[in-house]
Amino acid sequence: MMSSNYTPIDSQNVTGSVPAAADSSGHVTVKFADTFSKTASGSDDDQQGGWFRTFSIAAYKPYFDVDTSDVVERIIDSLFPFRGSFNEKTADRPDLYGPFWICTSLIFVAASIGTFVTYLSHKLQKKEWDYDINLVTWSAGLFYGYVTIVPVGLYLILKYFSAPSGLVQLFCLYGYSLFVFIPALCLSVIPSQIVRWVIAGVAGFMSATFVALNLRNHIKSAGERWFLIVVGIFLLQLALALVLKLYLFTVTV
Amino acid sequence: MSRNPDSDTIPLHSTSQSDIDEIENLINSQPYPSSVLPARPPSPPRASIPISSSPLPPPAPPLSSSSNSTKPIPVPPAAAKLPPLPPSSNTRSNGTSNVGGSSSIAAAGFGPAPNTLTEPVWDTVKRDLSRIVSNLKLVVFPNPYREDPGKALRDWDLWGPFFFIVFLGLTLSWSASVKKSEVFAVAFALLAAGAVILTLNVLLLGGHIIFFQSLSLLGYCLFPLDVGALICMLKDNVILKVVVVCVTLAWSSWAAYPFMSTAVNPRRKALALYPVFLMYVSVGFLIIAID
Repeated sequence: MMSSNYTPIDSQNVTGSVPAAADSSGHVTVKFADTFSKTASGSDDDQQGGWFRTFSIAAYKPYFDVDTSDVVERIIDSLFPFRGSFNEKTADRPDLYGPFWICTSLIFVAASIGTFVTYLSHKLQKKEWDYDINLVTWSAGLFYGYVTIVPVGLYLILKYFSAPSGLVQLFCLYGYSLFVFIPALCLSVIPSQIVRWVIAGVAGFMSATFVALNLRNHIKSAGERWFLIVVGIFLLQLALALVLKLYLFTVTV
Repeated sequence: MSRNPDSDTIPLHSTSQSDIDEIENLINSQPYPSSVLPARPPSPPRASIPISSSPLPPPAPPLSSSSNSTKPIPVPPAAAKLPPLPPSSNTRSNGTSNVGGSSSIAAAGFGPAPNTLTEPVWDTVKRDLSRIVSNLKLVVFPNPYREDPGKALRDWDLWGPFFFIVFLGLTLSWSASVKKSEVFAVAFALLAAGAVILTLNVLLLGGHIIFFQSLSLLGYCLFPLDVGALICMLKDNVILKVVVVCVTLAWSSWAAYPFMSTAVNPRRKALALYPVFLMYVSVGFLIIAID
């Protein structure tokens, strides 16, 4: 109702002013190729202030721009740790779908397998068994915390050592590296301690090598010394596998 | 102050009797009142808004009203009709002579009729319950030959999902033998957060879905799992539980499949459907495990 009092400026013959070069929509737009910013979301919906964008869906849409075949291909890639080419393949389109849902599936699988294992061992010894709901909450905290905090720490360390990597790329790397634990946990139902230790060791080694080799290739391409960081990351991933094995499969009857 | 021995009334003053006679004449001259007269004398007809089909006569000057004692009587019932009707019909009928009720306003399609604020509570509850039942039938028992497939999507509501989520949490909590409150908390948080995350997932994958519509549909698809949880609570046999949960899980996934798969690009269909399946499987697992 208020706009009826205003006349648009291009229809107004204001004396002494040069009419603005307007296109048909009535406002001047300058288009430039935005190739140097990775997080390019549509500038049309960037109406709000800069920090509001982190709370809008449109800001995260570029990270979910994957098809089913892409996700499956990346998962299969993560099972072959010695190729070391994962980082380069996902450099231009890192996705957050894979890490988030792999983590969530891992939490569910870990909770269910852990519950099933304790249930079996209690029943085999004819003891009372109660469902421990803390398994779900603890494994959620462990996995989500690991995939969120370690890449952020690594990002800061890499920046300090001048071999910067995108944060989302690190999330992507760590998320897909956890995939190998899902089949490992499924196999760990076998009720033999030796088998479980072997499975946990193999899975931990594969996952840690995957992360380490990809990081090594990335840091080498930046020309820095890679040894300490990569070894540290390797050991950290092995520690995760160890914690997983001890927490879920240590059955005290 | 002598008392009349025949009755226990005090003899009246001479002038009082004439007053009493006058009042009695007035009462007897009026027709039998169909409704209880107000305690105070009826006010003269105000400049009231004609709302009935027969417009009232223009406001008479106060002098004539006292002479015509039958006039004020129709006014109070008509004035009493004014409050229940919504103010919008009053303003409307100011301009036009007659509205014929406020039902025409409701036909404009802006949701429930404006006079739902004053309807009995039972009517509101009945309307919400019938909507829940109809949505349930459309979502969970989808009939390929039904006449209006999109009806459940347009008529979404959140009462149904709320009841189903709370019921599932309560059932799981009752079945648990220890840590009952934690079980309820985890179940409720899992279902509520899960529904929100699933909807966000579809939106981020570039799908076209309305946020609350999706929440509503995912909540309704929980109904088979509710039934399964109830059966598992009543009968505590592991094999039976596994069978019942598998059947109800398949039913829930089958009910949710059409809504989720049509919302996204066909190349990303599996990406949108897998999390739904994961959530229902985890709820099913919770039902089996809690004993």
